Amino acid sequence: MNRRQYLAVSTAALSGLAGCLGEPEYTISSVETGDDSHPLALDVTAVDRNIAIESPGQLDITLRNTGTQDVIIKNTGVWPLGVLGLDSGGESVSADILLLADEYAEADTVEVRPNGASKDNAPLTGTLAAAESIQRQYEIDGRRVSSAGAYTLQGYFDEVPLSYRTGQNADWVAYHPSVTVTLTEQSMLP
Amino acid sequence: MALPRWFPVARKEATTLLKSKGTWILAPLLVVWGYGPTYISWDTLGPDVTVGFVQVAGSLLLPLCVLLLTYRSIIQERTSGSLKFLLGLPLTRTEILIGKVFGRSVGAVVPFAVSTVVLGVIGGFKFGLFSPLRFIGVFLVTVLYIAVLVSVATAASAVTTSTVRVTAVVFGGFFLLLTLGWKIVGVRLYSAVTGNPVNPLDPPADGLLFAILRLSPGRAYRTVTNWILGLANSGGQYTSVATVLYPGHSVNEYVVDAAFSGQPVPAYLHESIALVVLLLWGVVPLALASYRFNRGDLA
Repeated sequence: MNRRQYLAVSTAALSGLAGCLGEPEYTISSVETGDDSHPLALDVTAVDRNIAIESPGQLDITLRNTGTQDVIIKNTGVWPLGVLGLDSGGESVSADILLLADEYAEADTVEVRPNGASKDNAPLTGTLAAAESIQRQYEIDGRRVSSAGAYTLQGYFDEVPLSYRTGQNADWVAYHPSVTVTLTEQSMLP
Repeated sequence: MALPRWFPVARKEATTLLKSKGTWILAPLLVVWGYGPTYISWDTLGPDVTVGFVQVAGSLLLPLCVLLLTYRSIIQERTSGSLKFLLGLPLTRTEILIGKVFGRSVGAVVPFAVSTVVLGVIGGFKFGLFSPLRFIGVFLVTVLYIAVLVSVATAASAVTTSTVRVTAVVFGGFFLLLTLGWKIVGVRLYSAVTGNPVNPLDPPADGLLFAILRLSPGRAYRTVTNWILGLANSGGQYTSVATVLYPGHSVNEYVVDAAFSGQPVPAYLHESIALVVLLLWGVVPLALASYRFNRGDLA
């Protein structure tokens, strides 16, 4: 075996085996927010697109009141966005990926376990004043991602993360965010 | 201080091995094989996950390659007739075995050392600064494991009279049963002796089961390296051990800490005993082979 053959064999072996071991890492390749007609709007920004073993990806999620009236928001878990998840559209009861937030640890209404989560169903209510916004940071832990693909942002336990109304006597309206987060698997080779 | 008489034999063996391109193919393969981070092992070990890469590199591919590089060390010379020339040197047969083991160990350690450095650089760059003491500790135990493997293969090579037989003994017996399949064989042996079935996901807190499991040099090696890693008392690969210890997860690996949770653990299951087992694997087969080799016919 000459040097050139040695290099060829080594490279082929490296290429063939690379990625066989170790767990996949992902990249938040895109975040698309759709228009909706609610007085509420969500802005989602990928602050850290790299979902790596040593560090999770991070999304900044801002809930804005785009209307001219105060909006009363009701949900469960933590106010105002609740326990969020990313769902691929499968038939599982909960969303596929649990999004993690520091608020879960501070609240006694949410318990996050290594392989799941639970929450208190007691409703939490608060008011988001007209033209105001609230920002929360959520993390995507790669351990909780089973495959790459396009995911829809929704509540982790219930599809609807929150309900709202614009007056004390108005009916509650379910809020369906229209956000698609696409995750792609990182290649082990440069 | 004068060099030992077997030193020229060792130097020749090491040089021969290091001039072989096959030996050097081992280095990149070990890097790719060893580098396998998991989310749970990162959560458990942090930056020391890099130290775990060295254990993985030393766990399956390294034994196979070391045995491949070593198992014909004596038999080749015996079948070609060159052993008679070697014995013409002012050396005892035991010194020839020692020289072979030492030289081939050095020849196998060098590419492993290169791959360890590369794994350390890659891991340090990605996962941050790891414990240098743990890294060096696992490296040194792996060097000992290499010497044990070379010793066993050389011993088998010295006491058999055909290449087919030594291949069967080294790969069919030692590698397949004692290295690759000992978890299954050991558990079946335990069940046969005690009559107790074993649920691999919830093994019994029986010292005998764990003692049998770590009789394998491979599992003894991992017990010691898991000890250095500060992970748990187990002969399993560090990723599996971390998974067993991780809440809400289970995998069929035998971990003393999980099985004996809260109960007293027998003293003979201490990790240091696994180091003794490893040392015995390095000495006993070679001593027996030396006894037989000294009295055997070279024809």
